[in-house]
Amino acid sequence: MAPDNGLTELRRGVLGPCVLALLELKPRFGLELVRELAAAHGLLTSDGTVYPLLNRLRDAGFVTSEWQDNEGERARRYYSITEAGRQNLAAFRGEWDQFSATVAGVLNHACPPRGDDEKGRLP
Amino acid sequence: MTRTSLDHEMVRAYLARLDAALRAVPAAQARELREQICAHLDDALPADADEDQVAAVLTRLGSPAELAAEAGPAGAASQATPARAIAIVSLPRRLARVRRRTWGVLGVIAVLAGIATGYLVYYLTPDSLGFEGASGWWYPEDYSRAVTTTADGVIQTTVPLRSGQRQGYFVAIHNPAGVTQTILGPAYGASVPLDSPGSAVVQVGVSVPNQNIENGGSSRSIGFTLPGVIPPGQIRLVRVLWTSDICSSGGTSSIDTLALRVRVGWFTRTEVIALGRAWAVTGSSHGSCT
Repeated sequence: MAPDNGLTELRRGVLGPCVLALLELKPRFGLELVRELAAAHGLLTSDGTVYPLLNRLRDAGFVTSEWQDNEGERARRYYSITEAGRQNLAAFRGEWDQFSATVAGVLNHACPPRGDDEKGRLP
Repeated sequence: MTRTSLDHEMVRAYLARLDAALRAVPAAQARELREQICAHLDDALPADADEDQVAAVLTRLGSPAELAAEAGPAGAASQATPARAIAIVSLPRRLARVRRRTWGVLGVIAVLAGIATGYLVYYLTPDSLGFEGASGWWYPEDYSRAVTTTADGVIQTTVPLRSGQRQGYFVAIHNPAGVTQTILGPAYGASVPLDSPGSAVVQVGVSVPNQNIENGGSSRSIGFTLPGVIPPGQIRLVRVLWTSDICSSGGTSSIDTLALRVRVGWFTRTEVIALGRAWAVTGSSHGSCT
């Protein structure tokens, strides 16, 4: 597998939790979310893929959406995180910390050589 | 009419390609995604956007084919939420575990269900007992005074009422099924004994010894018992007796069916046998009334 393909798949895998993390701060409409994600360099491969993801997050019960007609603005669909979404995000954060530390350790050769104390091994 | 970014030629061409790409996506999902993309373009582009601006936004948006792929099942699998990703990955494993663990049990259950179904079909669907043709009043004082009439195609044999005394008839019953049927008694609540002249004291008996009876046999020389077994394809006499308790003058009561409780295998069912004629008692009371 080419290195870029690996990163592409990794980006796709973490995009959902990243969307939930942004919605955890405040409800946002589509383009607002896309711009936030695009600002995080390398996270978004294409703007349009955010929308199918939002729909799947809503189907999973992690996100809700509602139309808001704010004065002076056009009507927009705003997305909000649900309680189930918050719990899912919290669980992912816990797993991500461990996972990223593990990957970083392997990539930086922090893993002790075979035969060393078992306690030094990566999980 | 106000011009919007959606009226731009490049945007309209993009949306047309998106519509074509979304044909493979369920209609509700396709509609929703198109609405989201239109809102995105409306927000991202000013109404007077030039071609470079439009091209840049459309390029960042991704190709219609890419969006359609993301909206379909493949996209759902490849860009799953953490929880769904875990479920998708673990589902085949869970199914594999279930297959290994329960394959034998499921096989046994399937075999037992098949046997039970076969048993039910075999024992619940056999033909009911049927009237074979031979019949008569049981007591000499009745059959010697029996009068047979036919009205509207119905044959009725009538004898004088003997209140407080035993009266009854016998009929030859055939078991046309491939399984043994056992007569357990009258089916209370059916036409017998409720329509009989002695509703509380009906007795049903099946002829013994266990021999096939052709053409009614010699009914007076055989005994009757209950429960009575009729093997497959054989004929037995069934005797129905009651004690008439009608004491009013001019009373008439008749029956033309015989309802029996019959056991077939492990199951018991009610069989209503058309008797071919109506058995009736009528006229003034004779004998003693209690």
